[in-house]
Order: sequence, then C-alpha cells, then structure tokens
Amino acid sequence: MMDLYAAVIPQAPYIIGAYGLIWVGLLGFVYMVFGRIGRLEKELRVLEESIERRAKS
Amino acid sequence: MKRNPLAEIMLGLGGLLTTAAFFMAFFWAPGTSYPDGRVDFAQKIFYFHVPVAEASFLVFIFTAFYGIRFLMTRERIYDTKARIATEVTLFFVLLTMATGILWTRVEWGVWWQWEPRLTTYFILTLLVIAYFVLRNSVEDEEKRAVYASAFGILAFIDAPISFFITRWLNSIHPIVFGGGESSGLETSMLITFIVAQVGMLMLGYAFYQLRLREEELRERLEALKIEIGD
Repeated sequence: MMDLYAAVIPQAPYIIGAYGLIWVGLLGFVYMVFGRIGRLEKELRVLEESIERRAKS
Repeated sequence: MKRNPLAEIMLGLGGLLTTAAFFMAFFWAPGTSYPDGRVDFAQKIFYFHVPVAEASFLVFIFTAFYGIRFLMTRERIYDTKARIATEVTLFFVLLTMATGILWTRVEWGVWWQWEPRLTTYFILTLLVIAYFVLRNSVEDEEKRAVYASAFGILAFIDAPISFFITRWLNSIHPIVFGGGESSGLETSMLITFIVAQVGMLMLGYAFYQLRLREEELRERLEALKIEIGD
C-alpha cells in the first residue's frame, strides 16, 4: 500500500492537471458556443420582428 | 434557422461516454504495474490524451476535404466549413499538447523531448496556428479562401506523418496498437479507451456542427442588417 501511495502522490498533480484541462476545455467550449448562439438568436429575433413591423406599417 | 438535432444528440451522447470513460479509467481499468513493483498511475492520462489526439487528426481531414471542395467549386460555404474544422482541430491539438506535456513530465522526467512523434505533432500545431495567421493576413476574401484552402491541404500532410512516424523511425513515444509484442491493451483498458475515443469523436462532430450553426446565424444576421440598412 505504501508503494502505491509513493507512486500515486507525486504523479497526482499531473494527472489532475491533465483531466482538469480536458474537462475545463470541453465544458468551456460548449458554454461559449451556446452562449454566442443564444445571443445571435436573440438578436436575429429582434431584427426579424423589426423588419416585420416595418413591412406592416 | 434550423437546429441540428443530430449535433445535440451527439453532444449529449459524447458527454455521457466521456464521463463514463473517466470513471471507468479510475475505477475499473487497472493501472499499469511493472515487474519491479513500480505502479504507473500516470498511464490514466492515456485514456483522454489519445482520444483528443485522434480527434485532432480526424477533424483535420475535413480541413483538407473542404479545402479541396472549395478549390473545385469556389463556393464560400466550403471555405467556412474548412475554417471551422481547423478551429475544432486547433482546440483538440491544444488539449493534446497540454495533456501530452504533463504525461511526458511524469514518465520521462522532462517537459519536452525532441523525438519524432512530439516533433511532428509540434509542427502540426504550428501549421494549424499558421492557418489562422494566414487567414488574418489576407484582406481580399476570395484570395484568403484560396490561400487558406491550399495551405490547409498542404498542412494536412503532416497529420498522417505524425501518426505513423513512431512506426517508421525509432521513437521513445509508446505505440499502443500495432507496435509489436509489447503493444496492446488488456480488455478492460481497451474498452475504456474505446468508450473515451467514441465519445470524443462524437463531441468533435457536435463542436463542428455547433460552430457551423453559429456561423450561419452570424451570416443571416449580417444579411438582415444590410437589408435594413438599404
């Protein structure tokens, strides 16, 4: 057991770092793209409504 | 503007599979232990490092493919698709480099080693970055698309070289599959790897489609703004 701890403890920061980077990267990518898509959809809706109103008047 | 349900399904499934692979890697797949009793815990990085690397190679195929399509047809959409594929490639390339460097530090005791796989992958990283530098340095839209397509096709040549180089030249980088008697994985390790790999490819597809949808929305918005302006 001591051997296992002796191997795991020095390596742990690198493994945590690698998995942390991957998860932060993947979640960050999804979060940013969905955020931008949401903003664009909202802007598009506002613009389309304004064009519609213009056409009616 | 239509949503792409397949991309959303792939995103959900990819997320589930990669999460499952994470737990499988730590709670099911055994760690590698050497005859001298040394335990290789850093091997756990392999389950995600290799899938992101494979995803970077596979997504980069689309840069070359759409580059060729653009040069054949001169349709702008293919240039957009090639650019988005390269963006997703860059994302996976950076993750591969970061996880690889951490693994190298543990296993080889150094942050970097100029051996064939690392060197060719480093060149690939520079080529992918150079693709965007090139795009940003050309103002004319048509010329930019032509140069970027040609560059993307040429840059892609490094991907198979980087993939196969460990089989052609002496390299200290591990060859997990097809590397002779010492290569290969035991069943639980192989299943964990496959789950992570399939999940990562699903995420790669979803990321590409989501970015494409974002670009389509942006183009539609620009068109409407011009329409209102008129």
